[in-house]
Amino acid sequence: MKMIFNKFRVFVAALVLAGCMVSCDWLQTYPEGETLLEDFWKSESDVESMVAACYRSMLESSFMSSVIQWGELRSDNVMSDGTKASTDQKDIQEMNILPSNGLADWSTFYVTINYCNTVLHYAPGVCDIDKNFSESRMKALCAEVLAIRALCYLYLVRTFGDVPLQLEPTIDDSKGFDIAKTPGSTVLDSMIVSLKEAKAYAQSSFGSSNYRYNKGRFTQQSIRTLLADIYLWQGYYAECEAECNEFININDALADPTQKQSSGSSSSLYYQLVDADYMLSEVFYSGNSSESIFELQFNRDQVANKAVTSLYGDTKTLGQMYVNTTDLSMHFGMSDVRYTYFVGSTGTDEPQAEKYVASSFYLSPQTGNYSFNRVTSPIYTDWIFYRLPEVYLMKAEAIVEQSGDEDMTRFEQAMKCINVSYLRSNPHADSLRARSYPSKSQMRELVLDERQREFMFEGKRWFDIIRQARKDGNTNTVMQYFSKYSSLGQNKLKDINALYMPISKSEMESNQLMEQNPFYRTDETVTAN
Amino acid sequence: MKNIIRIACFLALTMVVAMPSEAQQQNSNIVRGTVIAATDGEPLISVSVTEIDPSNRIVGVTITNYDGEYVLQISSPGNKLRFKYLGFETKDVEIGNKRVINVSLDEQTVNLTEATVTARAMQSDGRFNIPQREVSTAMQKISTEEFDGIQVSSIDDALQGRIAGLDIVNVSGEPGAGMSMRIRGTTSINGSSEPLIVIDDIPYETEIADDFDFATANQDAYAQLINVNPDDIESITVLKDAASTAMYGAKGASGVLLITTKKGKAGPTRIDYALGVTGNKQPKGMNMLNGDDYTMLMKQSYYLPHLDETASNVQEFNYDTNFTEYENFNNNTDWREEVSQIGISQDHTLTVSGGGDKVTFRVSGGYTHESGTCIGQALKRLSMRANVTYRVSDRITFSSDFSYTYSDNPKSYEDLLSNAYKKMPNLTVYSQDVFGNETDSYYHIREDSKLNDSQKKLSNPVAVADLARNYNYSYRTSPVFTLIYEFLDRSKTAASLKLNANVSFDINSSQKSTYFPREASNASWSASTVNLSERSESESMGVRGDVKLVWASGFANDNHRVTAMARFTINGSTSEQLGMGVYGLPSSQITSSSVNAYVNKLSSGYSESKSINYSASAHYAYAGRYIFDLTLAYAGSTKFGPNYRFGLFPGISASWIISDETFFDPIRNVVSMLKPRVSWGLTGKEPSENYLYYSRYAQYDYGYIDMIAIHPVNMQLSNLKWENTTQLNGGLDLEFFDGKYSLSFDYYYKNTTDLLFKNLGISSSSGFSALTNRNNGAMSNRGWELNIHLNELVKVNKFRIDANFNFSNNKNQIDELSEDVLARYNPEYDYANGTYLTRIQIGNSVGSIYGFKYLGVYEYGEYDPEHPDRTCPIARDANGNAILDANGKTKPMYFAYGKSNAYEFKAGDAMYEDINHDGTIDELDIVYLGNSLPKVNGGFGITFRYGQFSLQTFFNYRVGNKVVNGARMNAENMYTNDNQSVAVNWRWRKEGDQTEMPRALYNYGYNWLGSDRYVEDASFLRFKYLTFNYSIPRDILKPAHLSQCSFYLSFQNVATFTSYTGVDPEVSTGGYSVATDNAKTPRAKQVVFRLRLGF
Repeated sequence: MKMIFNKFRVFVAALVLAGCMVSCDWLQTYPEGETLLEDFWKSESDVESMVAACYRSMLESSFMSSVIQWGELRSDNVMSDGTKASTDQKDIQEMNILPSNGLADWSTFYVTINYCNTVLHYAPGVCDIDKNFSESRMKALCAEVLAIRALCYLYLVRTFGDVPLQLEPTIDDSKGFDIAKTPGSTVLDSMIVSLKEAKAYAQSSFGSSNYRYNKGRFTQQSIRTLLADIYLWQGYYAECEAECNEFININDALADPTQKQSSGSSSSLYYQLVDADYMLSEVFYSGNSSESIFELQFNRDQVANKAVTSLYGDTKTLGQMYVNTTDLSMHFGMSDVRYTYFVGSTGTDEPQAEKYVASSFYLSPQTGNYSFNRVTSPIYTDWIFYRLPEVYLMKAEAIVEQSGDEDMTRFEQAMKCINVSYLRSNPHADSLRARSYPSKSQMRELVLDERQREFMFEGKRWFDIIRQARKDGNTNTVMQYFSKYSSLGQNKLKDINALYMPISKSEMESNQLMEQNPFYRTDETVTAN
Repeated sequence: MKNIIRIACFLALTMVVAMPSEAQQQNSNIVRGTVIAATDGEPLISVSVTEIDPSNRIVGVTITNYDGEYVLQISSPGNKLRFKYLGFETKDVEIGNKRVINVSLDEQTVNLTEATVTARAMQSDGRFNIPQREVSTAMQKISTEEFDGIQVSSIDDALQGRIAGLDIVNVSGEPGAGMSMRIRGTTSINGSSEPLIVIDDIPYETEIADDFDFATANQDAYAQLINVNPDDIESITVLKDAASTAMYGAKGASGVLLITTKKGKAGPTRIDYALGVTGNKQPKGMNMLNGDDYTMLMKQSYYLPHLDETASNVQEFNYDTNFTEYENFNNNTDWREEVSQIGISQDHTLTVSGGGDKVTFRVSGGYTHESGTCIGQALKRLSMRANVTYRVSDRITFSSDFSYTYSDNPKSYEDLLSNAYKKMPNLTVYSQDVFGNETDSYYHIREDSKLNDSQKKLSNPVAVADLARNYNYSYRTSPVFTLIYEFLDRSKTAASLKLNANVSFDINSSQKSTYFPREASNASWSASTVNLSERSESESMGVRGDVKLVWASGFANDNHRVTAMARFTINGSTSEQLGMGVYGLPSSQITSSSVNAYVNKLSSGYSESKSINYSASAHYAYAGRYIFDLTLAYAGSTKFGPNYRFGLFPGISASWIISDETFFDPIRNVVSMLKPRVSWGLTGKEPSENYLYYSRYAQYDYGYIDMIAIHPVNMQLSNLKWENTTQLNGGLDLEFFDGKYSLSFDYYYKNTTDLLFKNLGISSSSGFSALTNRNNGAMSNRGWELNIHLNELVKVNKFRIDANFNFSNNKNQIDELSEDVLARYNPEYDYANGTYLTRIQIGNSVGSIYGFKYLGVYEYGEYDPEHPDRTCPIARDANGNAILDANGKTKPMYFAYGKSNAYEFKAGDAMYEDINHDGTIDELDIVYLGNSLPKVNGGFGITFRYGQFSLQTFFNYRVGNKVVNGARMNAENMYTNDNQSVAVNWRWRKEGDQTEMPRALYNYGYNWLGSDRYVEDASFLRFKYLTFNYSIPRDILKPAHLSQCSFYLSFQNVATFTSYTGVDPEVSTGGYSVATDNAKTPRAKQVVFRLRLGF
């Protein structure tokens, strides 16, 4: 009997001991299916997969639809469809933009920026842990990330003006989150600095066979294009021209006249224009064409480009935006094929933008009009940020801005650049002559028009208009592009600040240091009690 | 987890090893002998002969044969033999060296001498048993006998109004719906404020999905008590103050409900059977328009905004026989009637209990079938509970508890009742052919109809109830194994040192499967909302180990009495969820979500959490009247990072039984007890999510190009800590005339700091739009409680009246919140109809309602200087005089003047008070309209007894709470195609009409802004039940071999006295939101017949 009591005593002692020995470690539980920070950032592959996440986050439809709409929706290229468009889109169309408008939400861009900052913060340390991860390899990966971050900030600054500049990652809740806006030009100046660094370390190519990497990840040449774009926005025209020239020189050196390519995905590093007749299918539908410089890669059967589908439509449904033919058609000459090749104007429906959503077109023998074979959703087409004509047109714009009022030599130089895209799409027309556009303002307008014709529906037009208004310091000259607005809307747009979007309501509520953008402050005078 | 298993194995092993080692001790010693009766020397047959070890543990056993002889192999000569025979004295004989033991047993003589028994009623407060009168904390115990005979599917319903300080509000009258419980007010803005439920010392928790939002959720999701059969519950103790809940550490902040289940008692085996049959009838709600009045209203509301005949030319309202759907739109359907039914419930409980000295047991099985008062709703529950206690010896006791519950709770796919209120009454339920004959298919408004979407897309509630399904199953099994070991020999010392160790498991599995066929809606077959099948499953498993050492002093000096406890608890639980949904199933016959169709939802989740709790507690009584209690808990949880993983939760309380002092002697025959109490304690609350303190990286579903993409998914919350609640409680217990009348009063002050806020927006430039959790601010609750028990208030012969009353009051106040949190929770006014500004304001309570003041309807459109007092839409100054401009003209009254949606009021429009007299109704005219929390709530019951008859009544009430009557708002706004209540027949129709009901405006105007028009005082007094009980006297039952036969007839929810115009003033509120009545299924009126038989 004693025995059993002794056993109990041992048992009790064991229990008590077990109780005492259960240390803090026992209270550590780990999530399934997720990696912890402590176990991450250990090898090159971790850095690479995080870099991939920076790109991947841009495929989110919230990101893509902002990219397209911020650049397109308010412009004279498109109209919001009465039945398909959301209230937010209609409000923008009617210049009734409130901070509560969903399109004022920039959070998805800062998610990407935060990923970029995270990579830049941790990647250098990985070199010490992973001995096979060389410094130059690390810098090359960081160069891509710097470029992604700069691209995000370029969109933010162009859309909102001044935005918070975040260069450090948010990892924990130790510091406050309130942050004031930084002037847009300061933000972009800082991006110029980092892009210069990126340009130095970036890879010139990911190997001639890996065409998706070459088009879908930032290379030296694509970083150069982005840098030129930022210079242009900032008004650093000489730098912009230099950057474009460098691009063109490098590209020309790669030219191999024996291997003239006109179709198919280009694995070559040499950028060249695709024939106008094949643009719809090769440049915009198939993607990764020889003229593409940087395009976001959507994956077939995996990640669809939903934003394109909802905005431009598919086989069955029409898009939320349709083509504003009244304004747009004015800018095309008779010989220009771009209007017929990219605007679907058959039938009783509103004319649709066909870039990205149509795979091919054919001339209908009955009507004599072009019909488009639209793609069935889900649509997986890539999104092009930069393609070759951009470099030439940026150069043209930079030259015009630097030239005097009637500086014909410079105008000729600019005209050469403009003719690159113009002649492709006007195969039977003569080249444009500088003497037909004898003044700086006419040249400016020509560049703006050519950019519109070339890049319509590619999310660029509204930014072109803002850039023009910034040069003038007012909206007087760009007023002509606002004819789609009601007189009330046009009146509002006399204020150059009205070209920017408001800071979103939720951001205003959660960030004490945030100030509303000037045009939208009026509503704030009455504060809730 | 591993540790728990290790401990469990160790426990099991110890048992197994102990037994054979005992067997080896045996030697071949055999004892034999004869047992005779001392009086006549006759041998006694079947005498039980047991070998007993020194701790009274049975080692061997045999019985005597016909000749009174026995043979027994003994295990130790040190043991005793015990001879036991019915009607004879039990005799113990030391074995020693004797191998033949002959015994003569004396016949039992019953000689009663006067015995004085001084028993102290003991009460367990979750720590250990202490004498009831020595309780120094705020707790209240209630035995289920008090509400014997009423029929509830969940015990919280029976508790409603019973306990001062416990505010229970019915969430919905649907079967299986939960009750929202608050002990002493809301302590959390985002988290759950539901009390912790502890069943037989084991916390009874349900793992709630991480993304469950308490602030906005309808609280059906945590009807946890539905899994406990009320018939198995013996008593409930509610721990209200922090001193008593401190030992539950981070889980005790919202109070604790200690539930004790019934156990077997030694005695003859007893079989009890109870049958309950209930009829449920839904109270009639709002009177809605019939089809004819409705179409009249619609035509007017379409016409008025634009004064345009074509606008009101809607074919669905025209009774035009050329309209193809004419027959389907010319009816008078009472949709509420169509979806309601008389619910019938039945309830069976069978209990077998009993046992002897060594083993007691109780096994019960229950089956409930309840059908709801709305069609298609039901609850089936099968429950089982078994308890076996085995006293190995005086010092070792094992017990095992096992409970199993299965519930099957089909709910409505959509909210039937609120849809029925909205559905247009001229519509038919079943399609009619051109001759007006009903077919057997449900009628849906055609998709190409020009009616408003809100009506066009509103499904046919009868079709939804009949065709769509929403099945909910759950299984819960909780086995518990307990070992109690007394270290000290009670025969030698008065002290006691007891080990109470238990291992418990809680296995919970629930499934939800829904299906929505195309036939129940007008959507096209390819829509993602039809032929939609969804299924989700969740499983959780909790293992808990609990070791408790309780020491009770046995000092020679009886003035000092100490009970002390040390306790260690570890808890590990894992839960897994899986969900999938597919739409576009090929036909309505195929309802499985595993069929190859469009998958629109696929999710899975896993979480694991653990906690440790070390606690120690002591109760000290000096001279039986100075009482001190101290509790300390040191609790750790995996929900926090290393910085704040462990928290220390103290609780301290003291009381003084003044009535035991000698100076009290003169009045003790009147005031038999006077005890002031005071207590203070600290408790906590943890967030519901796991892994918050890690920075976690997850892989994107698909990467970029061919690269794998991994990204950070959250922000590491390293500084997150408990939501801390301190509570100070002062109380007074009073008893008169030897406890005949008793009264207890408590005042408390509860202060919650570091409030946990969920998904608080932060600057999105951080890369995150919200912080999943954040500590911020402080909130307090203060209030008082009064409990009065009057036993034998009247006693005349066999007639007796007992009564009890309780009152409680709570005042909530937000004391502190940072600017950004306030900004986040106080959105700008949206200038829209039907919304109330939700605000959290420092100094005010949660649940405050803000809106406009409603003054009625503008009678006239133009100002008439002859009749300056006539109401018309013009700006007036503070004295009520019209403001005139330079030309002597009046200024029109606007809504939101200067905004894009500015609106000029017209005759017949709603008139709101222009508080600041600026001629425009805008956010500056919004005022505080009241609060959703009651000022006083409680209940009272009076019981009448006459012999075997008894009549119990019980009332509960809430006073001073305001409710936004959303159902009425929807039924009186005349703004959409939704059906309206008959009240709109009094609407303004022409100049000079004096009415409170504005004109009908379809999708136009601002006649239903959030104003006090819909804010109603929801104070109520509910006659909760009236129960007749008759027990047949025992002497009549005896020949039938029955020990009990009682009949009950109970009327539940007899009447509700309230000025509230909605169907049920009992509306719950969650978190900081305001209480809004959305036409939930009201509490049914019930007639219950119950029969209880004991064998």
